[in-house]
Order: sequence, then C-alpha cells, then structure tokens
Amino acid sequence: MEKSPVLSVKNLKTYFYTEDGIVKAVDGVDFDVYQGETLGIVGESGCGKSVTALSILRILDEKGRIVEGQVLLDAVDLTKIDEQEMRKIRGKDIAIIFQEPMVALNPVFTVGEQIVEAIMLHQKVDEKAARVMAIDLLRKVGIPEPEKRIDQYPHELSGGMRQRAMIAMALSCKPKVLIADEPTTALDVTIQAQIMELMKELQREYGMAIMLITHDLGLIAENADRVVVMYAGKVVEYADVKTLFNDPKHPYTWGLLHAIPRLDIEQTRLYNIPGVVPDPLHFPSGCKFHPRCEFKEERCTREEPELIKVGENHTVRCFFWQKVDEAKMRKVGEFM
Amino acid sequence: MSAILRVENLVKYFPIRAGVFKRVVAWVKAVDGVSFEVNEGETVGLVGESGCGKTTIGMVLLRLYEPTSGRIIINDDDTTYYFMPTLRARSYIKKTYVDKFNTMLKKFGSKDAVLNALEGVDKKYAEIFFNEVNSSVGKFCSSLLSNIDEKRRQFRKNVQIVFQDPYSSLNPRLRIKSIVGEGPAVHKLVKGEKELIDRVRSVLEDVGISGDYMYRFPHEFSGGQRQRIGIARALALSPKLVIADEAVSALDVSIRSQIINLMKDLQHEHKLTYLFISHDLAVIKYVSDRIIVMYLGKIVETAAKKDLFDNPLHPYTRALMSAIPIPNPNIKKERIILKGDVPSPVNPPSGCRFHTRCYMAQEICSKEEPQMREITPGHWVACHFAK
Ligand SMILES: Nc1ncnc2c1ncn2[C@@H]1O[C@H](COP(=O)(O)OP(=O)(O)OP(=O)(O)O)[C@@H](O)[C@H]1O
Ligand SMILES: Nc1ncnc2c1ncn2[C@@H]1O[C@H](COP(=O)(O)OP(=O)(O)O)[C@@H](O)[C@H]1O
Ligand code: SF4
Ligand code: SF4
Ligand SMILES: [Mg+2]
Ligand SMILES: [Mg+2]
Repeated sequence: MEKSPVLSVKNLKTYFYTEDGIVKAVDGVDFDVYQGETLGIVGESGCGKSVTALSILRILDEKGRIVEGQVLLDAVDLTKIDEQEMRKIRGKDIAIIFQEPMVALNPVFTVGEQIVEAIMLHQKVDEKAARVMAIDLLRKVGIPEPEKRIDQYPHELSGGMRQRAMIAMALSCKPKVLIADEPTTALDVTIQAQIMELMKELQREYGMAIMLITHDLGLIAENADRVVVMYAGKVVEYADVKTLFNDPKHPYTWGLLHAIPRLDIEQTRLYNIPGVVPDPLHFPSGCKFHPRCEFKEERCTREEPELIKVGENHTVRCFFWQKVDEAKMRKVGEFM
Repeated sequence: MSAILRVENLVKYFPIRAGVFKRVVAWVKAVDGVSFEVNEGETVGLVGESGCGKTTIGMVLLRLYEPTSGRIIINDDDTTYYFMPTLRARSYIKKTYVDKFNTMLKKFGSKDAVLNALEGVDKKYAEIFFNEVNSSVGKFCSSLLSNIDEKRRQFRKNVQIVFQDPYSSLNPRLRIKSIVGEGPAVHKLVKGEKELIDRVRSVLEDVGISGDYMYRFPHEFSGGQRQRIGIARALALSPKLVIADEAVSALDVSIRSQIINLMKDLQHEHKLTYLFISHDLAVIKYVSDRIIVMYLGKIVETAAKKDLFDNPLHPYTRALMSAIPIPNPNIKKERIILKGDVPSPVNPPSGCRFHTRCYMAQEICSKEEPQMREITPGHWVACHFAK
C-alpha cells in the first residue's frame, strides 16, 4: 500500500535579500516525510538545511522570504495560511529542536515554566495539570529527579539535560512531525548515543515523523529511513538509506562517503573533494558542484541538471551519474 | 625509537575563586596525574570527551599554562622550569633533583652507584651534579639555568601548536606574510626581507596556498584555507613537535579530509612528530600510531592503534567506540549506552573516576583507584578488572 506523507515539501525556494545581494539559501528542495519514519537531511554547513527547517515553520528573519514552492501538512499548504493559523501549527503539529538548546530555552524562566507554557498554549488544561504533565515528560526523557529539576534554570543543567528538556518541550503536544536540527552536534558522543536512543523510543511510542538534520553521515546511516543529500541549496540525491550508502549515484555523495574517516573499514588514504564549498552569493553557473567534480563535462558548466529518477525511490541531480557507477568499480579498492 | 617528549605525572589544577576577597574555594582538577611518551616521527592521538583535559595538556606542554606539578621532558632535557621565574625554578631544581640525588646517595653509599641506578635525564643531571659542580646546589642550579633565554627560544621554535578555530587563531589585522613570517623573523631563521619572503612563500606552497596570497588578510580566506595558514605558521619554524588541538574539528567534512591528508603528507616530508588532540575517535584512528584515551583528567587506556581497536580493554574505551555512529546502514552495532552525565572535575568520583557510569563497576571501584597496568606489551589500562 502506498503510504501518504504527513509533510510534503515541493520545489521550496527561500531567498535572503541582503545588502550584498540575494542569497539563494534554499533553491529547489523536494521531499516527503512519512508517519513513524525518519527522514535524514545531510549536507555541509551552509547548504540550506536549517533554512529548510525554518521555512517549514515560517520562522525566518525579516530578510528571508519563501519565494516559491509548497509545504503541505495533511494537504494544507503552510506557505499560504495566515500567521494566526500558522501559530496553531507550530509546537502542536510540527515541533523543532535545535543544536544549541541554550538558544532555544529562555534563560530567565525555569525549565518547568517553559514546558508548562508550551502545554497550556495548545491544550485546555490548567497550570496544575500542566505541571504534572511536565514532570511526567521530564521523567520520560530521562531527567533524574524531575520534581526538583523542573524548578531549575536552563544554565543549571548540563548540555545533555538541556537537550532532553528541549525534547520534552517539543513533545509536550505530541507533534506529528519533529524537526531535529543538529540535535546532538554540541554534545559528547556518549551523550549523543543516549539522546538518539531516546528519540527512537519516543518515535516508536508516539509514531511521529522525524526530520533529522545533520552533517554526520554516521547518524544518518543509523537513524534515517530515507535520506536527502543537499548541496548549495538544492537536493542532489534522494534515496532510501540503504540505497544511498550502498549505491550512491551523485559524485558529491560518493565523494563524501569516501572523504570521512571511518571506524568500520581500514583506509590508507581519504578521498579529497577538491576545492571549497561555494559562496552562496556567487554560486557557479550550471551544475553548482561542477568546480569540484571530477566527472564534469563541458555541459555541466552551462546547464543545471534536473532531478532524474534512477531507480525505485532514488533520484539524482547529475547528467553523468553513470560515471559514478564506473568509478565505483575502478576506485573502490583505492580508498577502502 | 626515542622519546622526543616524556610527560611524567603531569597535574594542572585551576583555582575557583569566590567572595569579595576572591578566596580559592575549590580546584578544577583538569589534569590529574598524567604520564605518557611520544616518540620521534610518530603520531599520538589524545582522545576523550569534552572537559576531560585534552586542551589543558596541550596548553601546559606549551607552557601557556604553568603545570601544577609534574615533569615535561623534551629530548632528554627537563623543560619544566624553563618558563618559571628564577626563584621558583631554583626551588623546583632543588626539590626535583638535588633532594633526590642526596637521598639516593645516602641509600646507595656512592656516587657511582647512584649514577648506575639512574637513566635518561636524571642520569644526565646527576653527572652534572656530582662530577661537574661537586655537589654544589647553587652551581647546579646556575648550570641548569645557564643560557635560559636560548633554551626558551629553542623550545618556542621546536614545539608548535595548531588550534581548532581557524577564525580566531589568526590575527585579523595582520597580512598572511606577517602571520607566517613572524616566527622565522623572531628566531632569526632568515636574514633580510628577501629570505623572509622566500621562506613564507615556500611554507605557504607546502600547505597548498599560492605564495602570491601572502599580502592578503585572514578574512579573505575560507575556513579550510585559514587552517592551512595556521599549519604554515607552525611549520615555518621547522618544529620538531606539533600539537594539533582539534585542528580539523571545525571544518566541513570535505575540507577536513583535505587538511588531514595534508598533515599526513607534511609529516613525511618534514619528519614531524604529532600530538593529535581530538574528541573524534574516527579521526584519531585514521591519523594515529598510538592512542591515549582520557576520562576526567586521567589516562584510562593507551595502546598502539591496532591493539586499541582490536582489543579495547577499558569499559570507557569500549563505550566510546560503541557510541560512534557508523556510516554503514548494513551494520547493526551493539551499543553500550552509558547512564548519566560526565561528572564534574571539581569533585571527581572517589576510587575509579568512571565508576558512576561504568556498567562493570563493583564495590572496590568506588573505594580504590585502579593503577595503570601493562596487560600486553605496550597496552596499558587503568581498570581493576582488565585482563
Ligand atoms: N583557564 C581555566 N580556568 C578554570 N578551569 C579551566 C580552565 N581551562 C580549562 N578548565 C577546566 O578544565 C577542564 C578540562 O578542560 P579542557 O579544556 O582541557 O578540556 P578538553 O578535553 O580540551 O575539552 P573539549 O573537548 O571540550 O575541548 C574543564 O573542566 C574545564 O572547564
Ligand atoms: N538570516 C539570514 N540572512 C542571510 N543569509 C542567511 C540567513 N540564514 C541563513 N543564511 C544563509 O543561507 C545559507 C544556508 O544556511 P543554513 O540553512 O543555515 O545552512 P545549514 O545547512 O548549515 O543549516 C547560508 O549561505 C547562510 O549563510
Ligand atoms: S552534473 Fe556534471 S558537474 Fe554536476 S555532478 Fe554531475 S557530472 Fe558533476
Ligand atoms: S575500575 Fe571499576 S569502575 Fe573503573 S572502569 Fe574498571 S570496572 Fe569500571
Ligand atoms: Mg544549520
Ligand atoms: Mg579542548
């Protein structure tokens, strides 16, 4: 049976109108998020991951505008509804947790005050009931002695506990979609393992969809069902997780997978993706990856490729993806 | 193989002050008795989670912080007192060497017996003490302190650091030529403007940056390029030991592999020795010959890379390894999830510092501190139950 997505992003374009020029932060992004599933969004810094998340929730700063595309939540286009309706959706249907919980949590209110407020905003309960619910939530996300912790301020908690408190707040209204933007990047790996385990448990229990945004391919491989790879504001590859890692077709995805130091294989040399991540004010012509691509041809400098379907649920934005297949045969031994 | 760096029982405590009189109310035990060696030409990886003391070790080695106690020996010279004020240095030399030699003399009965029992830097200094200065404390101190300015200069030339943050570690008001050329000029490695420019050009080209860029400012470069400039600055002095503190952690994945490969190439070309500090075990595995794992101010395990990965012995090392996500969806990994947070280094847990989170802890662990034991040659671990 074909499942229908809870959240669908279609041809999303978000630009920032700055003094230096137009930053095309998100420039054609499509993906679907399904109930109970995790969609991974991976890419290097500045490729537009966070702006995609902020656009979905419409919390961009005043310079940023969604200039094209749709964000469909149960067939309602969130880019079209008014701010008042949008406010009902934020936190209730779609919740977000950020990399640095210190920024998202208000330092002058206790953890409890903030969660209680979030609960009362969307549910018809009084303050006492909300407090009981908040304590339950804190216990659920693994904060010890929640009755005490609830009255502490964010700076009195460790990084891991703050992230747990953020998750508790995000979950307070049982959202359909949880956007996790680099949720563990600021944490130690042993704490990261605790938080990822917690998110999986809660997903099993609540059946929510998760959008996991990260630059860590390891987190993606272990947690995502489907994966979007972004480069310079665009989706360059979209596939289920096994296909993406076993059979990448985009030169950038392929390069990334060989450029990371790995624990699971012996590497004699890391692959070098030459050059640098492009400056969004001066994106290259044609395929935005062409200055760094070892498979490029003259056409790539002139024309921008569309997303091409290369398999069941597998699309790639590259004219010459077959070349990656050939290179795979040739080079596998060199880097592994 | 000879040790270029030997660290013995290194301790660094930071005071926490409070109240109007800024009295010391407690100590952050950032590094609490750490010993290790780095051999010439090898890369030793130092890994552990945030706050375990990695950066502090680097800063103490460079003497940007004074050690609280311990010895830092470089190429069989004790450098610990190099940057102390004279009185402190004399008292350090007396406590560390004179008192030790005299105690040994009483016990062994003859100078020769003492000399025979000693090795390395201790033997070298005992020879000076007994034979050259006739057991005179004053002359011995003066002898070790002679040419101290030259010793300091040599030290500053031979030990270099590459920092994590390519943005804040380069002075934004200086041109690349001044940033990279400062060291060689100060240390008089070059004579005149022409030699300086040649030197800067050649190190910049070593790190993959065109020499023509030497008149630009740091903000005109990308993060990866700035990190290359940071490396060029360290290399410009032809150092022997380079401490890289999270040198690639702030970089994007694709840029990170460029810098790691570059550092490996430069190591071969310039016969460098690296102490490579990182919280990222995958990076550490890729670059290191030997690995030191730290937890809360102490070393818990150290071994050759292969031994550590084939046979991790400390429960913390195992948990750390199992916590790292593997970019391979075909592998389903057994994960050890540690309970709780990393404890504070102000009040570290009694006994084994890991016992509050250890899944193998027994009663003894909270009472007795496990000592480092060599389980197989070169593979050391501090756990009561490792075998
Ligand atoms: N100047 C200082 N004054 C007081 N405490 C300090 C100082 N520098 C470091 N510390 C403390 O010493 C401990 C070790 O810090 P250090 O910076 O060495 O950790 P690290 O292992 O480098 O961590 P990270 O991975 O986060 O860089 C920490 O508890 C830290 O807060
Ligand atoms: N408020 C803003 N004003 C101007 N440019 C922005 C703003 N926020 C993000 N950008 C730019 O948009 C691009 C994408 O940013 P972002 O989505 O934050 O990247 P990431 O993938 O690292 O999350 C970057 O070039 C960034 O500099
Ligand atoms: S379209 Fe051309 S430049 Fe772009 S990724 Fe494909 S081969 Fe490379
Ligand atoms: S000594 Fe005890 S607490 Fe420490 S690591 Fe070993 S088993 Fe765990
Ligand atoms: Mg981001
Ligand atoms: Mg550090």
